[in-house]
Amino acid sequence: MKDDKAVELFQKILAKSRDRAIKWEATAQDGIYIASLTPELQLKVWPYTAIDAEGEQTGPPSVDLRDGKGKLLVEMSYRIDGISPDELQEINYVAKRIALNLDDKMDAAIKKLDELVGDSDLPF
Amino acid sequence: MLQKLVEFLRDNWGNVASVIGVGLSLFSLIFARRASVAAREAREAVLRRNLAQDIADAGTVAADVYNFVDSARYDSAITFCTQLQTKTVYLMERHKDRLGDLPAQKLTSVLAQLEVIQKVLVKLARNAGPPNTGANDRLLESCRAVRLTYTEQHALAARSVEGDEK
Repeated sequence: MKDDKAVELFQKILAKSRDRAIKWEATAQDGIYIASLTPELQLKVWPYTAIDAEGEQTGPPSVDLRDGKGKLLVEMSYRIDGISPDELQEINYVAKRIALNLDDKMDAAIKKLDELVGDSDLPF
Repeated sequence: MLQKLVEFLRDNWGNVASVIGVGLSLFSLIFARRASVAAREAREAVLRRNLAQDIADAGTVAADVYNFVDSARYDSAITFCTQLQTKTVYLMERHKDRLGDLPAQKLTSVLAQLEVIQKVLVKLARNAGPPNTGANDRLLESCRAVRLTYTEQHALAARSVEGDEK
Protein backbone atom coordinates (compact mmCIF):
# COMPACT_ATOMS: atom_id res chain seq x y z
CA MET A 1 0.00 0.00 0.00
CA LYS A 2 1.24 3.49 -0.80
CA ASP A 3 0.74 6.35 1.66
CA ASP A 4 3.41 9.05 1.47
CA LYS A 5 1.97 11.06 4.32
CA ALA A 6 1.99 8.05 6.65
CA VAL A 7 5.60 7.32 5.67
CA GLU A 8 6.57 10.94 6.39
CA LEU A 9 4.82 10.77 9.76
CA PHE A 10 6.48 7.48 10.60
CA GLN A 11 9.96 8.74 9.69
CA LYS A 12 9.38 11.82 11.87
CA ILE A 13 8.28 9.65 14.80
CA LEU A 14 11.34 7.44 14.35
CA ALA A 15 13.73 10.42 14.17
CA LYS A 16 12.20 12.13 17.21
CA SER A 17 12.27 8.85 19.14
CA ARG A 18 15.94 8.37 18.33
CA ASP A 19 16.51 11.92 19.65
CA ARG A 20 14.61 11.03 22.85
CA ALA A 21 12.23 13.89 22.09
CA ILE A 22 9.16 11.68 22.41
CA LYS A 23 8.39 10.67 25.98
CA TRP A 24 7.24 7.10 25.52
CA GLU A 25 5.47 5.50 28.48
CA ALA A 26 5.17 1.84 29.42
CA THR A 27 1.68 0.33 29.74
CA ALA A 28 0.11 -2.63 31.50
CA GLN A 29 1.01 -4.87 28.55
CA ASP A 30 4.53 -5.81 27.59
CA GLY A 31 5.58 -4.28 24.27
CA ILE A 32 2.85 -1.63 24.11
CA TYR A 33 4.10 1.92 24.59
CA ILE A 34 2.18 5.16 24.41
CA ALA A 35 3.10 8.82 24.01
CA SER A 36 0.82 11.81 24.11
CA LEU A 37 1.76 14.53 21.59
CA THR A 38 -1.11 16.91 22.35
CA PRO A 39 -4.39 16.49 24.24
CA GLU A 40 -5.90 15.46 20.88
CA LEU A 41 -3.12 13.24 19.52
CA GLN A 42 -1.44 10.19 20.92
CA LEU A 43 0.94 7.56 19.56
CA LYS A 44 0.93 3.88 20.33
CA VAL A 45 3.54 1.25 19.54
CA TRP A 46 2.35 -2.35 19.31
CA PRO A 47 4.65 -5.38 19.40
CA TYR A 48 2.78 -6.90 16.45
CA THR A 49 0.95 -5.87 13.28
CA ALA A 50 -2.30 -7.77 13.72
CA ILE A 51 -4.02 -10.58 15.56
CA ASP A 52 -5.11 -13.53 13.43
CA ALA A 53 -8.29 -15.60 13.65
CA GLU A 54 -6.73 -17.87 16.30
CA GLY A 55 -5.87 -14.86 18.44
CA GLU A 56 -2.14 -15.10 17.65
CA GLN A 57 -0.07 -11.97 17.25
CA THR A 58 1.38 -11.71 13.76
CA GLY A 59 3.88 -9.51 11.97
CA PRO A 60 6.53 -7.02 13.13
CA PRO A 61 5.72 -4.12 15.47
CA SER A 62 3.42 -1.36 14.29
CA VAL A 63 2.70 2.22 15.27
CA ASP A 64 -0.54 4.11 15.23
CA LEU A 65 -1.79 7.64 15.66
CA ARG A 66 -4.98 8.08 17.66
CA ASP A 67 -7.14 10.94 18.79
CA GLY A 68 -7.47 11.96 22.43
CA LYS A 69 -10.22 9.42 23.08
CA GLY A 70 -8.23 6.56 21.54
CA LYS A 71 -9.91 6.47 18.13
CA LEU A 72 -7.57 5.09 15.47
CA LEU A 73 -6.54 7.73 12.92
CA VAL A 74 -3.50 6.34 11.07
CA GLU A 75 -1.93 2.89 11.17
CA MET A 76 1.74 2.59 10.30
CA SER A 77 2.93 -0.93 9.58
CA TYR A 78 5.20 -2.85 7.18
CA ARG A 79 2.23 -3.06 4.82
CA ILE A 80 2.86 0.55 3.82
CA ASP A 81 5.56 0.98 1.16
CA GLY A 82 8.53 2.81 2.66
CA ILE A 83 8.15 1.46 6.22
CA SER A 84 10.46 -1.47 6.83
CA PRO A 85 10.16 -4.19 9.50
CA ASP A 86 13.66 -3.22 10.71
CA GLU A 87 12.58 0.37 11.32
CA LEU A 88 9.50 -0.87 13.14
CA GLN A 89 11.64 -3.12 15.34
CA GLU A 90 13.90 -0.15 16.02
CA ILE A 91 11.05 2.14 17.05
CA ASN A 92 9.71 -0.58 19.34
CA TYR A 93 13.12 -0.93 20.95
CA VAL A 94 13.72 2.83 21.26
CA ALA A 95 10.26 3.32 22.77
CA LYS A 96 11.01 0.60 25.32
CA ARG A 97 14.38 2.15 26.09
CA ILE A 98 12.78 5.54 26.78
CA ALA A 99 9.72 4.20 28.62
CA LEU A 100 11.69 1.99 30.97
CA ASN A 101 14.52 4.50 31.33
CA LEU A 102 16.94 1.80 30.23
CA ASP A 103 19.86 4.14 29.48
CA ASP A 104 20.06 5.31 33.10
CA LYS A 105 19.64 1.77 34.36
CA MET A 106 22.40 0.47 32.09
CA ASP A 107 24.68 3.35 33.15
CA ALA A 108 24.04 2.48 36.80
CA ALA A 109 24.79 -1.19 36.09
CA ILE A 110 28.00 -0.30 34.22
CA LYS A 111 29.09 1.95 37.11
CA LYS A 112 28.38 -0.76 39.65
CA LEU A 113 30.29 -3.32 37.58
CA ASP A 114 33.27 -0.95 37.37
CA GLU A 115 33.31 -0.76 41.16
CA LEU A 116 33.37 -4.52 41.64
CA VAL A 117 36.81 -5.85 42.43
CA GLY A 118 37.89 -9.24 41.15
CA ASP A 119 41.08 -11.29 41.39
CA SER A 120 42.57 -9.72 38.28
CA ASP A 121 42.18 -6.25 39.82
CA LEU A 122 44.34 -7.10 42.85
CA PRO A 123 47.88 -5.66 42.64
CA PHE A 124 49.55 -8.89 43.88
CA MET B 1 -25.80 85.10 41.50
CA LEU B 2 -28.62 82.71 42.46
CA GLN B 3 -30.92 84.52 40.08
CA LYS B 4 -28.43 84.03 37.23
CA LEU B 5 -28.21 80.30 38.01
CA VAL B 6 -32.00 80.01 38.02
CA GLU B 7 -32.18 81.88 34.69
CA PHE B 8 -29.50 79.63 33.23
CA LEU B 9 -31.34 76.51 34.35
CA ARG B 10 -34.64 77.85 33.03
CA ASP B 11 -33.10 78.59 29.63
CA ASN B 12 -31.01 75.42 29.39
CA TRP B 13 -32.86 72.86 31.49
CA GLY B 14 -33.04 70.45 28.58
CA ASN B 15 -29.27 70.44 28.08
CA VAL B 16 -28.59 70.06 31.80
CA ALA B 17 -31.05 67.18 32.04
CA SER B 18 -29.31 65.49 29.08
CA VAL B 19 -25.90 65.87 30.68
CA ILE B 20 -27.18 64.44 33.97
CA GLY B 21 -28.89 61.62 32.07
CA VAL B 22 -25.69 60.74 30.23
CA GLY B 23 -23.78 60.80 33.53
CA LEU B 24 -26.27 58.48 35.20
CA SER B 25 -26.21 56.12 32.21
CA LEU B 26 -22.38 55.94 32.31
CA PHE B 27 -22.51 55.36 36.06
CA SER B 28 -24.96 52.46 35.75
CA LEU B 29 -23.04 51.04 32.76
CA ILE B 30 -19.82 50.91 34.78
CA PHE B 31 -21.60 49.26 37.71
CA ALA B 32 -23.38 46.78 35.46
CA ARG B 33 -20.06 45.84 33.81
CA ARG B 34 -18.36 45.37 37.17
CA ALA B 35 -21.26 43.22 38.36
CA SER B 36 -21.06 41.13 35.19
CA VAL B 37 -17.27 40.64 35.60
CA ALA B 38 -17.78 39.66 39.23
CA ALA B 39 -20.53 37.20 38.24
CA ARG B 40 -18.30 35.68 35.54
CA GLU B 41 -15.40 35.34 37.99
CA ALA B 42 -17.69 33.70 40.55
CA ARG B 43 -18.95 31.27 37.89
CA GLU B 44 -15.37 30.41 36.86
CA ALA B 45 -14.46 29.82 40.52
CA VAL B 46 -17.41 27.42 40.88
CA LEU B 47 -16.38 25.58 37.70
CA ARG B 48 -12.79 25.31 38.93
CA ARG B 49 -14.15 23.86 42.16
CA ASN B 50 -16.23 21.40 40.10
CA LEU B 51 -13.12 20.43 38.14
CA ALA B 52 -11.25 19.70 41.37
CA GLN B 53 -14.23 17.66 42.58
CA ASP B 54 -14.51 15.71 39.32
CA ILE B 55 -10.80 14.89 39.43
CA ALA B 56 -11.09 13.84 43.07
CA ASP B 57 -14.02 11.53 42.19
CA ALA B 58 -12.06 9.97 39.34
CA GLY B 59 -9.06 9.61 41.68
CA THR B 60 -11.20 7.60 44.11
CA VAL B 61 -12.19 5.22 41.30
CA ALA B 62 -8.53 4.99 40.19
CA ALA B 63 -7.63 3.93 43.75
CA ASP B 64 -10.41 1.29 43.62
CA VAL B 65 -9.03 -0.08 40.34
CA TYR B 66 -5.56 -0.32 41.90
CA ASN B 67 -6.89 -2.05 45.03
CA PHE B 68 -8.95 -4.59 43.07
CA VAL B 69 -5.99 -5.40 40.82
CA ASP B 70 -3.73 -5.70 43.85
CA SER B 71 -6.11 -8.22 45.41
CA ALA B 72 -6.48 -10.07 42.05
CA ARG B 73 -10.22 -9.30 41.80
CA TYR B 74 -10.06 -8.68 38.08
CA ASP B 75 -13.81 -8.76 37.37
CA SER B 76 -14.43 -5.94 39.84
CA ALA B 77 -11.39 -4.08 38.51
CA ILE B 78 -12.88 -4.23 34.98
CA THR B 79 -16.10 -2.58 36.18
CA PHE B 80 -14.21 0.23 37.91
CA CYS B 81 -11.80 0.60 35.00
CA THR B 82 -14.76 1.15 32.65
CA GLN B 83 -16.20 3.66 35.11
CA LEU B 84 -12.88 5.48 35.27
CA GLN B 85 -12.67 5.69 31.47
CA THR B 86 -16.15 7.23 31.39
CA LYS B 87 -15.32 9.69 34.15
CA THR B 88 -12.08 10.69 32.43
CA VAL B 89 -13.78 11.37 29.09
CA TYR B 90 -16.52 13.30 30.92
CA LEU B 91 -14.14 15.56 32.80
CA MET B 92 -11.95 16.13 29.73
CA GLU B 93 -14.99 17.25 27.75
CA ARG B 94 -16.69 19.21 30.52
CA HIS B 95 -13.57 21.11 31.52
CA LYS B 96 -11.95 21.35 28.08
CA ASP B 97 -11.34 25.12 28.40
CA ARG B 98 -10.23 25.04 32.03
CA LEU B 99 -7.75 22.19 31.77
CA GLY B 100 -4.34 23.42 30.71
CA ASP B 101 -2.53 21.72 27.83
CA LEU B 102 -0.29 19.64 30.05
CA PRO B 103 -3.05 18.30 32.36
CA ALA B 104 -5.19 17.54 29.29
CA GLN B 105 -2.25 15.71 27.73
CA LYS B 106 -1.75 13.71 30.93
CA LEU B 107 -5.42 12.73 30.96
CA THR B 108 -5.10 11.64 27.32
CA SER B 109 -2.22 9.40 28.43
CA VAL B 110 -4.36 8.10 31.29
CA LEU B 111 -7.09 7.15 28.79
CA ALA B 112 -4.56 5.27 26.66
CA GLN B 113 -3.21 3.52 29.75
CA LEU B 114 -6.73 2.57 30.85
CA GLU B 115 -7.47 1.08 27.43
CA VAL B 116 -4.49 -1.28 27.77
CA ILE B 117 -5.27 -1.99 31.45
CA GLN B 118 -8.81 -2.93 30.42
CA LYS B 119 -7.51 -5.28 27.73
CA VAL B 120 -5.12 -6.99 30.15
CA LEU B 121 -7.83 -7.28 32.82
CA VAL B 122 -10.25 -8.93 30.39
CA LYS B 123 -7.55 -11.43 29.46
CA LEU B 124 -6.77 -12.13 33.12
CA ALA B 125 -10.44 -12.48 34.07
CA ARG B 126 -10.88 -15.10 31.32
CA ASN B 127 -7.79 -17.10 32.35
CA ALA B 128 -8.29 -19.30 35.36
CA GLY B 129 -4.68 -19.25 36.56
CA PRO B 130 -2.84 -16.35 38.19
CA PRO B 131 -0.82 -14.02 35.92
CA ASN B 132 2.95 -14.36 35.77
CA THR B 133 4.87 -12.03 38.08
CA GLY B 134 6.11 -9.75 35.30
CA ALA B 135 2.63 -9.25 33.85
CA ASN B 136 1.15 -8.60 37.28
CA ASP B 137 3.90 -6.08 38.12
CA ARG B 138 3.35 -4.23 34.85
CA LEU B 139 -0.39 -4.12 35.44
CA LEU B 140 0.00 -2.88 39.00
CA GLU B 141 2.61 -0.33 37.95
CA SER B 142 0.30 1.00 35.26
CA CYS B 143 -2.63 1.24 37.71
CA ARG B 144 -0.38 3.00 40.21
CA ALA B 145 0.73 5.50 37.54
CA VAL B 146 -2.93 6.26 36.70
CA ARG B 147 -3.78 6.74 40.37
CA LEU B 148 -0.78 9.03 40.88
CA THR B 149 -1.70 11.12 37.85
CA TYR B 150 -5.11 11.77 39.39
CA THR B 151 -3.55 12.60 42.76
CA GLU B 152 -1.20 15.06 41.06
CA GLN B 153 -3.94 16.65 38.97
CA HIS B 154 -6.24 16.93 41.97
CA ALA B 155 -3.51 18.71 43.93
CA LEU B 156 -3.05 21.20 41.07
CA ALA B 157 -6.79 21.80 40.74
CA ALA B 158 -7.20 22.17 44.52
CA ARG B 159 -4.35 24.71 44.58
CA SER B 160 -6.13 26.69 41.88
CA VAL B 161 -9.34 26.68 43.98
CA GLU B 162 -7.40 27.82 47.05
CA GLY B 163 -6.00 30.66 44.94
CA ASP B 164 -9.60 31.76 44.27
CA GLU B 165 -10.39 31.76 47.96
CA LYS B 166 -7.45 34.01 48.92
